[in-house]
Amino acid sequence: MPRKALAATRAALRSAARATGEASTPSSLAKENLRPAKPQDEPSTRAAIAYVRTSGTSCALSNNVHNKAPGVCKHYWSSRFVTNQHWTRPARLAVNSTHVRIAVRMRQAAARSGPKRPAKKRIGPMEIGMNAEHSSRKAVIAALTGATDSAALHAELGAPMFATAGAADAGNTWAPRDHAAQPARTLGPKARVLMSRRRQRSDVSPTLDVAHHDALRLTTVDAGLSFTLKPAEGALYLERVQCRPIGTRIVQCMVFANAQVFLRWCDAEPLRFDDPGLHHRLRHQGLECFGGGP
Amino acid sequence: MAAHDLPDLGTLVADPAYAVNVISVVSRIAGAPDTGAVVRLLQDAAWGLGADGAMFTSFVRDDATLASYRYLLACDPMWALHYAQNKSWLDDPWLRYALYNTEPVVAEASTETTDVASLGLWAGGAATEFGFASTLVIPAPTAAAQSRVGVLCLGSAHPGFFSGLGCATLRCLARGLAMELGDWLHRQIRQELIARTRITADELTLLRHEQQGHSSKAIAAALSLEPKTIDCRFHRLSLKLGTANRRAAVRLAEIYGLI
Repeated sequence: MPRKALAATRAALRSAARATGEASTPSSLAKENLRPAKPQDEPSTRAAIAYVRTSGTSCALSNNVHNKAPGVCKHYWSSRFVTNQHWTRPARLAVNSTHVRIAVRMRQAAARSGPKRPAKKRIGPMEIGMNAEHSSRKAVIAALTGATDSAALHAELGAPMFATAGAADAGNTWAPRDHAAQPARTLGPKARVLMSRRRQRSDVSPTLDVAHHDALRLTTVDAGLSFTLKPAEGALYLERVQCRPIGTRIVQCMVFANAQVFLRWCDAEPLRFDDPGLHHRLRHQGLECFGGGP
Repeated sequence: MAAHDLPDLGTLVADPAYAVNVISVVSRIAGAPDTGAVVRLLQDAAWGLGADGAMFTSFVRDDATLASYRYLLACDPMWALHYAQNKSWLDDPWLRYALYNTEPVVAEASTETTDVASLGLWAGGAATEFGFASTLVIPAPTAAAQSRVGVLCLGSAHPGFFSGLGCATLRCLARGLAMELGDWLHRQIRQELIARTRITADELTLLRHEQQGHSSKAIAAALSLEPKTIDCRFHRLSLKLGTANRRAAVRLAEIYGLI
């Protein structure tokens, strides 16, 4: 190994450590199993190229480096040797100030925590109470009632909630699902945009009077607002629907007993500014239901 | 809308025909042919109870991106315009109360907690102008809890009308009215959904399988189909119902009472 390259790598690591305020000495580098880079890989920037050898410490280090700063060792994880949990051959590692800082922290953390423990199983809200799996509920009820006999347990427990006999026979086909009584699950950004586009496509319709039985429907161009008029035993039934692609859909159903009340409502309706033509038709059609005038 | 000039609630309730008249109107709601008829029945029931106006709100949270509000208004129509212009549905204290409570409450008399106090403030503000100077808020809870709820608001132009004697009888009758309206509206929106989506019996079967937690493979085995076919059918079903995925489709079907 050329001494020149070794010196250059160590100098680069020291300068990086100085920049981050962490201590980095040749002995610490030796603990990390860092080896100097090849001369042709000598970088012109502050970062250095080093070799990493197989060892438990280095493996733990790189995992945590990847988790904490994924951008730093992106190319590092793309190399083939990472597919194996136990590194079998040396690979290149870009060393910069972030690496050195994390290396020091992880070494200290490894010294404190000792061997890695298996991750704890997290219990979500869907696994609690009556939403829990059948076996879980069985265990809970057994603990609560003190019933040890299988027949007593079955009598206590009954069939799984929402499950049929077929589902129970089929074994563990239980899966968490969205319950109607719980708040709706939040959509991700892409799904939200997709839903918005779908609803816009389905809602937009041209301005047409759609005769539905004896009712008359007036709709704005963007289908954001629509009115349904229907005569109702000397009165006028009116349904005002205001909808948006995402958000709310408001339906107001009311009955106008006489033309005066209807005209007062018409004169206050904001549609007269947004779509005067449609407002005129609404007023005209409504008055026709009362016999043509107040 | 003409307001009824009534002496007080106690005198009304003392009349033996009071409850009989209201019940006869309420019992006709289930057989009402259309929404217009229900609004008129609501108006009759409100007048029979001694209120000047009434508003029934049905709230359905379809999914995380869409909430539907449906109002049956047997009150001053200007209140509906005022409500829409001010986007009052975003912060309607009457509806908010119904989302988390089941007990009827007189809005202006409630000052114990912040939420309930806002009922009175709201009624004391804009709503007073439109015949809700005194308001009785009657929640109509459902099995879908906060995803679908109804609330009936009875209003009177006379302040303190619902705080007087006879309120207990009124509350019993109003609860029946609220539940009947909620059930009728639920049936109506379910029929509308079925008509709009043209959902088939096979698709409902798929939803029931998904409701039971079956995977595509399990459903395919039960229906003698390929798992890919099941996935494809679920995708089409989601498009029909306007949901993001099959889980949301099942949730929607449960809320609307399809399965």
